[in-house]
Amino acid sequence: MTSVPAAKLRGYALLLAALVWGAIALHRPELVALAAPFGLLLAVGLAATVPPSVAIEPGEDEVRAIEGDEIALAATLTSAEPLGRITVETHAPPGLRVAVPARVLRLEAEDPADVTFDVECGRWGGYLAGGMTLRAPGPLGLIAFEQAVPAGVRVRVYPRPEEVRALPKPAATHAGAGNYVTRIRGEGLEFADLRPHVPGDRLRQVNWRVSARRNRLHVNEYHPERNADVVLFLDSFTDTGDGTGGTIDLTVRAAAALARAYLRTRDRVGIVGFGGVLRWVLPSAGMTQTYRILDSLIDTQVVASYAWRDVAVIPARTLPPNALVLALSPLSDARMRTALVDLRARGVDLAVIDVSPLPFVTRPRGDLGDLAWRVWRLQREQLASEYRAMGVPVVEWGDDRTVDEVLAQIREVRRYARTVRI
Amino acid sequence: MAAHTETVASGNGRSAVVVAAAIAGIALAGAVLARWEAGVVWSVALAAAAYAAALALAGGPTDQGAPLVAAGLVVAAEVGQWAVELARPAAVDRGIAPRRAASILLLAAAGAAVGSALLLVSHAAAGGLVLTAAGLVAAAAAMVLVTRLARSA
Repeated sequence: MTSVPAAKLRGYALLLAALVWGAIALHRPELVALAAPFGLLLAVGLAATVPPSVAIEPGEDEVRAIEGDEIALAATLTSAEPLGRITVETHAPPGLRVAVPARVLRLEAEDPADVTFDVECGRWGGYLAGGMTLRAPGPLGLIAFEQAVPAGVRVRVYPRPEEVRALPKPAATHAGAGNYVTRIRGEGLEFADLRPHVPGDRLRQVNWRVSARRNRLHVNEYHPERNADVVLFLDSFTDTGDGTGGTIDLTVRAAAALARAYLRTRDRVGIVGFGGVLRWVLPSAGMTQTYRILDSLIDTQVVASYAWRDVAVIPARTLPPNALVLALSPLSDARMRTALVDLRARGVDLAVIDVSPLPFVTRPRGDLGDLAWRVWRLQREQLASEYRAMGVPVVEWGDDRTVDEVLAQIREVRRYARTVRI
Repeated sequence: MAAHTETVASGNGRSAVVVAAAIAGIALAGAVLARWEAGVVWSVALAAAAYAAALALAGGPTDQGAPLVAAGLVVAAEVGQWAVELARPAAVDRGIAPRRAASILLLAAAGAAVGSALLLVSHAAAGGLVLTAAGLVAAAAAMVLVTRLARSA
């Protein structure tokens, strides 16, 4: 622990000196009496000060939580000698809030004491928390001993789950079992048709009622339930925000909700973060994939880059054939806009959620500002209509609608979706 | 403190001394509100200076209330700094506040006792050059002791 003299040490010493010298100069013994308590305090306080030896052990090294959750960051303090007063202060990174960031407690010799701070997870993200400062003042507070404990607790805050009742259906499915009733016929639950029995048909497929009526064996046919590949294509080139939120914030929340929902329906979900840094998670299914995707999402950030990027840099395995690609983008960056056109040109089943930057931008004042605003809006509408002309549904998502409402609109547009090459 | 300084003060500079003592009180409150720890000490120093000035202006017999003034100054300084610490949001365990309050009162009482003893000694001893020189040496020795203790801590 490093020693830090308190402000009062110098002040009391100067006061003591001034009073004693003043007493001698003015021949007033009262001033010596006035100096006596300060002299006593300095002598006792400094003589009794011994550097403390405090060991601190963090409670856990990794915590997972959901936005809005309250977590407890704990540590155990052990002192070699009794300490009348020790202050433990924690420092929370932006995004985490500590209601009471300091605790003052007593420590008995070799008696471990637990210190717990309640931390509210305000915003999704990965944080390194648990940094603390221990401050143990000497017996009369003239010298304080400080020790900094570096942050060592990894806190992973996942976006708050949003309700998604129905999802856009992919145009094509896989051979794996899932929740989508396909148009083909095979093993499944959904009745499709009847046909005459042929050698090789299983006995359990025979529809006895129809066979008896038609005097010939007939079997039932079913639509099999299949799963699909879904790739969430996130734009991390730009972030338009106003401090309370931004397009990246909305993008990550929506992506988390979509990933959770698609994985629940046994689809294989992958993610591609297309921005200054290219990041991806290969499509897969299951609960492990949920956490893989969420872990990847909370590390999403805008990395400024002026280098040109196109879809050629994306590994082929991250965009499987027949996958439904759901792009989440504010459509602000030319690289992302071009990449979406390229994907569509390759015959990818694509839908775009336009994460609107409009709610986060202050409308400029004056005639010129008003004109610029209107031109910008017209450009955005023109861009959306160009995508629609290519067969790509584009749905604008402002802050006035839920993800579910946006997805409902996409579902409506894609009701009769087919993938074609343009 | 300001009231006692007013009773002690007399002569031409009385009003200035009283104003200085009042300013010291306001400065102490301001330092606490501004969470300025050093300001608390300087406010107490200003109050002590006002009292010293009052004594110098008054002349006459020794003020027997000086040990109580000293105890009051220590209590004001320590409680002021405690208040500055309390202004920071912190959860304080039970038992710490009473112990600290007791230590401040004990310190003030011990300081007042030492001050009274010193006043008694000053009454008993006759003045003169030798005693003044001894006082100077004692003052210097006290400062050296404080400095050495501060360095060793």
